[in-house]
Amino acid sequence: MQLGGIGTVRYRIERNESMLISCNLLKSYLSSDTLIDWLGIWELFTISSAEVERVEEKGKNTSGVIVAKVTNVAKNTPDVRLNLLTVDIGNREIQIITSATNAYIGMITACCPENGMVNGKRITKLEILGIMSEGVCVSEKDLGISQEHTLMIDLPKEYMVGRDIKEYINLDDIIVEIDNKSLTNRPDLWGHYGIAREIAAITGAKLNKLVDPIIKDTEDSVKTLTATVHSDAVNRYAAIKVSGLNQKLVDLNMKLMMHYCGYECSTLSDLVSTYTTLEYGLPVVVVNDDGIENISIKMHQDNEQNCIELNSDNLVVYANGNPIEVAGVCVLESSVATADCSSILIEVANYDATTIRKSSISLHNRNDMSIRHEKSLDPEMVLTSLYRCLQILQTLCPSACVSSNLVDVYKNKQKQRVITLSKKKLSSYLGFNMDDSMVVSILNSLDMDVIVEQDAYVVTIPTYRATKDIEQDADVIEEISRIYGYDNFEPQPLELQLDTMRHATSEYSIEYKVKEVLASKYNLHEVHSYIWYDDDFLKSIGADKSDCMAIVNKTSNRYIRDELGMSVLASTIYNARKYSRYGVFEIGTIYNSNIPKKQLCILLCDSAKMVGETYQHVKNIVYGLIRNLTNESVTFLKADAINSYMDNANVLNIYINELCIGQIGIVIPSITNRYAKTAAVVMAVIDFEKYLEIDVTSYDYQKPPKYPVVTLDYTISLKKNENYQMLENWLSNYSSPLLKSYNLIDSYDNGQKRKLTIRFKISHSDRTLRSEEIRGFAEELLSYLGRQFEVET
Amino acid sequence: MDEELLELKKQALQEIANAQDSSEIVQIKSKYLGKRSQISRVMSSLKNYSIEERRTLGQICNTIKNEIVEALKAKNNQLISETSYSIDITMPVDEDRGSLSPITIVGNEVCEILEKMGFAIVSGPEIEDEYHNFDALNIPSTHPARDMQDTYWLGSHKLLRTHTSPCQVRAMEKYGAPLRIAAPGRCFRNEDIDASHENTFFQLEGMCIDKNISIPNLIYVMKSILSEIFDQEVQVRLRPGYFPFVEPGFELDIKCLICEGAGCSTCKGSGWIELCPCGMIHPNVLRINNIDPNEYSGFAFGIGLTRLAMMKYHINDIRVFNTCNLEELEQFGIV
Repeated sequence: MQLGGIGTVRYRIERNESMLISCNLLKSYLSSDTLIDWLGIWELFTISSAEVERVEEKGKNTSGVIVAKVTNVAKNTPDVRLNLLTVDIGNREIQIITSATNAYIGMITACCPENGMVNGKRITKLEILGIMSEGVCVSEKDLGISQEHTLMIDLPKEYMVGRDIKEYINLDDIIVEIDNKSLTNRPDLWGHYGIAREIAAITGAKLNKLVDPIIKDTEDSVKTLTATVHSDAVNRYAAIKVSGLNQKLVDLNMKLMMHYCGYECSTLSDLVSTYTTLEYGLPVVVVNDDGIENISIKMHQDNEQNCIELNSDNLVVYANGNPIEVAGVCVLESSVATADCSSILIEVANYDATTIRKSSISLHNRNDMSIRHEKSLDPEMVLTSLYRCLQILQTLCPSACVSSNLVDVYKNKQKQRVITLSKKKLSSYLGFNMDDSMVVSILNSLDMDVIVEQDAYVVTIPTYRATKDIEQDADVIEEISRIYGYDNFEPQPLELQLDTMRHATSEYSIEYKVKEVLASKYNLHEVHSYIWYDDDFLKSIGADKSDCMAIVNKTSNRYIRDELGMSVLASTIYNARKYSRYGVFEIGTIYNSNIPKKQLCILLCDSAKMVGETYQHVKNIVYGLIRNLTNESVTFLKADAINSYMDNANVLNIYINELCIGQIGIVIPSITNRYAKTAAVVMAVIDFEKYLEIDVTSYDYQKPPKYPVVTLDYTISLKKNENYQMLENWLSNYSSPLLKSYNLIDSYDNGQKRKLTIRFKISHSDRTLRSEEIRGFAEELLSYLGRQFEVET
Repeated sequence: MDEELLELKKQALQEIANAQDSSEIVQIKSKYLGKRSQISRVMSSLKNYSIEERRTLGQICNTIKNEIVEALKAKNNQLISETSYSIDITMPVDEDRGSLSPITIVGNEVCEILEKMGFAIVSGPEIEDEYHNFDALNIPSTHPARDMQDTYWLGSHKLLRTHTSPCQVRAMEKYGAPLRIAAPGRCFRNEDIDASHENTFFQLEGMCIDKNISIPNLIYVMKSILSEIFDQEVQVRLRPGYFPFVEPGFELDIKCLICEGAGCSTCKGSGWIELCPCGMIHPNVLRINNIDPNEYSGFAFGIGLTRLAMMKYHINDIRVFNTCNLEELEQFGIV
């Protein structure tokens, strides 16, 4: 058994993001003495009610199309595919050549003689194969009634020959496209009547009240129809059977309006149910009546064998025990009322919105009907819609008669809501005191009754606004303010707040300052890598991150990063193919053991030959960043890599005082080589939360030395197994009252020898140093250095 | 006389050639071209000669004088160039420079504006719990936004935040009322990526709670922020919009800055550009977060930083912001 869409939604399934509204239909709900600019009203509608995306005038490009009668059909044209018709256009007969094959003598049709216009195309006499054609016969597509374009229109016999077609068919209309998203919380606007009611409210026009129609008597032998509801997801269900239908009957105006609104209807029951749906918003469903007696509605059980495609999320309508419809979603194909079906069951229901949403999603079949049911429509409109459908059906098809009793199961009755709105609160929101009379006038225009008390308004909300839209006082304030007009509010500045929360901003300020320094001083580029790891990269480096937090509903790249370095590396390493050197950074969140942390990653990529310089550059950046922005001293100590992609031989921990805040390291060459064979990548990863905790130390002013400072430069040759840290450690143990500072000023490395030049600054606080003091210091220092290192003098 | 003058020229040129610095040049000039120089004396004695001799001698004197002047000038230039630094000052500048993400630049612009209005800049976690992302924002448990199609779920009621609005909740929990905060941050939605859709994007949440905060206050703040962002007076309009955490909720449009409302391709002919959702904070949201809605009211707004950056830099592909492609990123600076 296959699922089939119900006829009413076939076309709109493809475009369920917006709704098309016919102004001709809207006009029919408003008092005829109302003067409304139907082209201009939509701007006001947009700012008061819902967003209008497009307004289109239909029919204005068609003129001079008239009702004509075919008086002769001749097939004696040079091309056997063409017919030469003689048509009476009222004041004369003309000849028209057409490819349509359905012409017959006596046929009432529509044609456009010379000088008329069809869809913007001016009609002229045309010689075809030596025969003069004095006009064109028009198809339904030409007039915008349907997609049919190969046949002439077979008009009703009562149409008078020679009259303008627009006297019979309302080709001129204004079609308005409204974004469905802006109607999410306005279930009352899902039908033309609701839109008309809204226009009445914002323009002061008079709305025609709905009157339940008089239904023709039922058949003499009415069969009993029963309905049982086994689920709370059904708020209300009503149905009735009709027989004696002629599905071929069509009302051209109704068909035209359906087409303008985006629907194609192929049968009478399709047309009528769709039309009623568009009028009142509630989906009207028609199914084939093949002897339906008992209807039951319940959630589908997984162990049911009757329909393999249904699931336990589906609310199903059963007839005589067999599923005929997924409630609120679609009619099963075997129950669709086809063109030869003369007995039907008309259903109008109101279901729980969430149930229908889940059901349609589970079937991958969200459509016009299910989307309507998701909006929590008004169950009070169920019978009105059903009766309206019956009325239209019986008007168009006089032989149609009711063949069952009406069933109406109303499980969850929708009540009117009463809300008390305090005047004080209203004034607070509006920024001014609104007169009682204006409040009452606005609310009355929205069909809300108001009792004015001393400090409050007691407002009764109609059922069509009470399903989910208006629930409390703030909702009523919205109604008052939008009808008052947001354009009418005068902007008012906030009062000055001296007690600002500036302290809360400090984290953001520091973060921005760090970013600014890295970009402006060190020429690095800020990047944003994804919060999840890239599967391909993980695979390429053999990393397993399956113990990381994972996104449940993502099939690839689903592991949340637990450290920033790999994420930045994976996202940026591709640049190495185009750039011989580059530097990037990111401040981002990672999740380690499900705990969020913020990290800063600095990544420099350069030629592998320059790896020493690159490493030193990263160190300098880290040092500069911390020293410049916090005035704290930084130390680097050799350590083991905490990340598997770092080369363990060259890792330094970054310390501020005794707090380790991060690491610097080189990415293992085998990883880098996959992307750029001659490149090396050096990275620093810093725990940014620890960085934020560093207190900024203010500078203590120190007077410059009064007496001259003497500088002494010495070059130390390092052996292969020696490094600067050893020298530093050795020097840090040397003390002299004259030594003020020392620092590395030059280094030389030719691959064989490594030489470091250190500058020593000495001075005396009370006087100028004497030459013998300088000499004495130098000898002592050289002697100390010489005990451990080779010093060039 | 002729030979005497030629000898004089030879001597002068020799001395010029031997000159070591500009002071010598001055002396030589005085010696051979000064008022008391021999050439000057010859020139002043020309009146004693015949017309023919006067013409010949005069020409010789002028030629010698010009040659000495040129020689002095050349020598002087030579001496100057020998004593200056020799560098190529026409070399190109080093154009290497860093860049901030356009999101950071735009976000900071907005933050600076809000800070001036007394808003504090706060942040919140990118991985949120269901409570902060939905429940505390009055988003019902049945709301479509919670569906798998829209939200990245992590299990145990955790998720990647779908908007920056949870920062409202965290700020209310931490600071209570009154309150003025702005929270820039990254959000995630379960979207297929294309030129106009991203699963990772940036927003900035704003919120103000106090006594008697009104719709006109919201309009004023939004107009001020947007006028500063776009560096010109912008016209804004509010129209109804539905968001569960605000009531009344609005969509805020600005009058198209390209066509000034006349209608163009940028505004799709409407004259207005939809910019950000906003509204008065829903009483339920205040109530859930222990703020009495009968005492306090407030407004909130969400500015799409990604959208703003796309507008500012005329970027028509949203994927640019997450590419990490330096060819894209190095075009931006730090302002």
